[in-house]
Formats: sequence, structure tokens, C-alpha cells
Amino acid sequence: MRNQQWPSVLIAILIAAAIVIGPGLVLSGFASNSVNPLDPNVSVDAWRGAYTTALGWSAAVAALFSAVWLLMAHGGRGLDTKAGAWYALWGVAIFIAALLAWLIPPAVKEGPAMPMSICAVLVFAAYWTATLFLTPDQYRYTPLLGRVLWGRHA
Amino acid sequence: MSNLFPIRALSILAPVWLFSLGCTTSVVVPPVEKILPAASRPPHTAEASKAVDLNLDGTLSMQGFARPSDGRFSQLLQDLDLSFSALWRPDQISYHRFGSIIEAIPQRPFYVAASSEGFFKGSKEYATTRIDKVFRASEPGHLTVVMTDLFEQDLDISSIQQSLRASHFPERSSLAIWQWRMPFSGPIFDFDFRVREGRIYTGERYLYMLALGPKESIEKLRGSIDHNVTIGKPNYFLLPSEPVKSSADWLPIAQTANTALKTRHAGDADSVPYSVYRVSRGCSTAELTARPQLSAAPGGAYQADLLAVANNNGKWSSRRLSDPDINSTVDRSGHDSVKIKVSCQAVMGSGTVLLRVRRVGTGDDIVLPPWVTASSASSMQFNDALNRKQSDWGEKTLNLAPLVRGLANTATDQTTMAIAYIYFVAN
Repeated sequence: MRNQQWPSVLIAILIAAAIVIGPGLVLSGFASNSVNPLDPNVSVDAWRGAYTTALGWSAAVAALFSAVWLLMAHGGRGLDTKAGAWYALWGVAIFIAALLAWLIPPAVKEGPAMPMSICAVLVFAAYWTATLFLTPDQYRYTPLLGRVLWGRHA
Repeated sequence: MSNLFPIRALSILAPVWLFSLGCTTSVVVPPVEKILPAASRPPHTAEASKAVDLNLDGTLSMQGFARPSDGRFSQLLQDLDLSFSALWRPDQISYHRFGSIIEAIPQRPFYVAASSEGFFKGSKEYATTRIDKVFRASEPGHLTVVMTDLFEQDLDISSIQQSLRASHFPERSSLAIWQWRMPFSGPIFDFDFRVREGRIYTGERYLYMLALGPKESIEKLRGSIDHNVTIGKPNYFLLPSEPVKSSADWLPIAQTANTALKTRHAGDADSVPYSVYRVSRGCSTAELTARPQLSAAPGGAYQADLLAVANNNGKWSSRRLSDPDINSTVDRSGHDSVKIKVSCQAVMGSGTVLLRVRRVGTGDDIVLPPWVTASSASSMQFNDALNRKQSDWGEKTLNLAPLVRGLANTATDQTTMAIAYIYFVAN
């Protein structure tokens, strides 16, 4: 499947979204119990709703950047590693997710780093996992630890 | 492997998804009345009024509204009649003229008769404006409306307060006041009647409408007036029955430390409003800073008590904990600021605690809208302005602020009033 362009892109989108949304929702209770909104009239339940929205956008970012990487990889011939592009997409996806998690939920005075950390770490894991398993053969070693995972079977 | 991958992925993701759904935290706290039965009051009759009684002040100080040729007074009466007709059938609306007596207005439409100068009498029966008599004569289930210039002497205020109490205000009735600025040309009397013929004033004066009855009917009438009255938007002030049961509580929180709002429950006819806060992880003291809304005069005294709440086989019980720290100060803008500190250990140990904040008041508790104080003059100011022939003396309403303050006091006349109920739950 990894060498079939559109099925692999579709699966990558699903994996990336699931990795962000699933654990993100599981952690939403922990996150909302760790913050104190700056505006005393904003309830933590309302904050949690906004955090969930940020999580949804982070999932979309992870899915989009994973798909972009796979489309680039399928378009290439394997003549270079494209490692720069892979790391750049990874970094930009993490940065955007952290930015969204900072901008979307109401400002907090206790635990401000909590939503940003969760979204950034989950996008980090989502992009890496989706691209690690679904990058076509010609670039299968490019994702981080790709050589460790696939090297013995190459 | 590739064929099995989606199934394996689903088998991993589905439990994660289900776990996340099950992880939604919910806090169950009882209605305050289950813990503090004193917070529960007998339900008031919220039935809409079946009839309306319009009572028009027939004293001579009202005559000046009917005199200007622009016809605004006549237009207002006509618009008000339309507002009533939109809510009640003609046989449910009755019209009266009052001074020290109350008599029916038989003419229809009433506003044609009431718009003429001759409607307002200088006779002995119309020498004083006995609003108290109108309220005392109000029938249960009726909306009693009084249209007057509120030319009230000092002693009238307590009579009106007493008549309102006799008419089940605030237990079962709310009171609303509308204020219109109207052209006027006619006599006004100084309050101690040193000038028996009155002094002629030409300019603008305030005309008032008071409505006593169920809050629901008053709010409908307000909507109808906003829709039908064409001479301008009036000022409006509502003194609701049982103000503590209004949807907003009286202690808005301005700042928190080591605690955060979880949910807020609006009160209704049978329950008081309350908020649920959860304390932060590892905190020692949770703090709330609030600005009470029930304090017209700064420097009020506040009390707070704390109860541990427990559920034993579906039955709620409570146990008194040591009182939390509460400090009140007057801030730069002249309002009370209250800081309450609740021990996080008390919350962690009990799981759920209920904080009750009370104001030890003198009844001087509702903040009057600015238009009340702006258009009010004391008896002394009024007579002084009258004798000095100041140009704006007619624009002031004699004793308006003390009268409205008196009505507000009637609504909140309790020595100690609970102004907030706040649950704290463990994290």
C-alpha cells in the first residue's frame, strides 16, 4: 500500500488525525483541570471546548503535512533523500499546531504551556508515525528512525 | 501486512476513542436548597395578569402635560392604550383617575378624555396624589399601572412602601418604573404649599408610569411599550420580586487564584443560582475576589460560611467547616471589593464544599440607575430652586431617589441576605 499514492495518502491522513484527536481528547480532562482561565467568567468547560477546537485544527495540520510529504515522496525518484523537506514539514507542522493551541483557547494564568505542549507533541507523533509507515520505498529511510525500522528488511 | 493494516489501526484507535468519550469529567452537586433549606422559598405565583388597571393621576400638577399644543401627552396615552390592547382584551382593561379618591373613567377611548386640561382637577379630592391608595386597592392577579408625575412629599414615600408591602411586594409582585421626558406648561406646587396656586412652569418635566404585578406581565408590557410607543424610548427600572432569585447572582467574581470556574447554574423560580469552582492541583488556598452588586453604599459587612457536602446513598448531608477568611475593602471607584480565601485542604478532604456569602445589610442594597439620581431633587433643593426661580427647577422630580430607594429597600429589606452560593470541588 505504501507505494500506492492515493491509498497511502488517505491512510496517512486517517492515522495522523487519529493520533492527534484520540490521545488529545483523552488528555482534555487533564488539560482542563490544569489551567485557570485569565477571565474569571470563562469556565474550564468552555476552555475545554476551545481546546478541542484547537485539537481539531492540529489534527488537520498533521494530516495535511503528512499528505504533502507523501505526495512529494511519490513525485520523487529517490535520487536524493528529501530529508530537508521532511524535517521542514515536521517543524512547520509542530510550530503551527503550537501556535493554534496558543491562539484558540482563552488565555490562562495557570498552565499556559499545557495545550501548546499537548498539540505540539501529538502533531510531532502524528506526522512522524504516518510518514514513517507510509512513505514509498524510494524514501522509506528519510523519516526519523526509518533506517532503524526498515533497514534490516531492505 | 498492507491488507490487515486498516483493521489493526481501527482495533487500536477504537478503544482509545471510546476511552476518551468515557473520560469526560462531570461534577454532580446538589441544588443549594438540598443543603440549605433556608435558601428555598415558597414558589411565587408566576401566572400572567388576567387584567390590567390603569390609574391616571388626576391632580392639578399633571395638567401641564396636557396643555402644550404638540399633543405628545395625548400621543403617549394613545400609544399606551395600544400597548395594553396588544396584551389584554378591552374587557380586561379598566381605567381610573385618582387623587385622594379613585374613580372610574367611563369615556372610551379613555385617552380622549384624559388628554384634555379639564380632566385634571383642583378640587379637595384631588389635592394630594395618593398612590398608596391605588396600590392598596390593587386586586390579586391584576397588573396595577399608575401614571403620575410622582410629585410626592416626604411622608408619601413611607405610605407607598407600606401599601406595596400590603400588595404582596416583593413576595409575589414586581414593580417597574418608566420615565418619559415630556413638554409641560402649567402649575407646579412647592411641597409645603407656601404658594397655593402653584407656580407656572413651561419647559420639560418627567412623567412616570409604575406597574405592580407579576414580573412576566411587566416584561411583556415593557416589550409592548417598546414596540408601540412612538414618542421616544423611556428610562426603565425593574425591582423584581425576590431579587436574589434573579438569574444573575449578586457576587460577580473579578479575579481567581488557584481555582477556576467549572459551571454556572442560573437560578429559576424554585432554586437559587450557584457556581461550581474546582481548586487547582496542589494548591493550599483558593482565592476569589468579587465586587458585590447589592451594595449601593460602600463599606458593607460580609460573612462567609463553609459546609462539607456528602452524598450517602442518594441523600445529601452537610457538616459545618471552619469559616473561610473574608475581607471587604472599598476600591478606588468607591465600590465594595470582597476577597474570600478557602482552604484547598478542606476541599480535598471533603470532595465538595459549599460556600455561602452573605451581606449584613441595612436594606440599602440595590444600585439605583443614574437617571434616578440625576432627575431627583430633595424637598429643600426643590423649594430653594423654586424660590430662586432657577430655570431648571421644573426638570427635577421631588424626592424621586428617596422614593425609589424606599421601593428598593422594600424589595431587599432583610438584615442578612445571601448574595452567592459557590461550590468548590476537588480537582
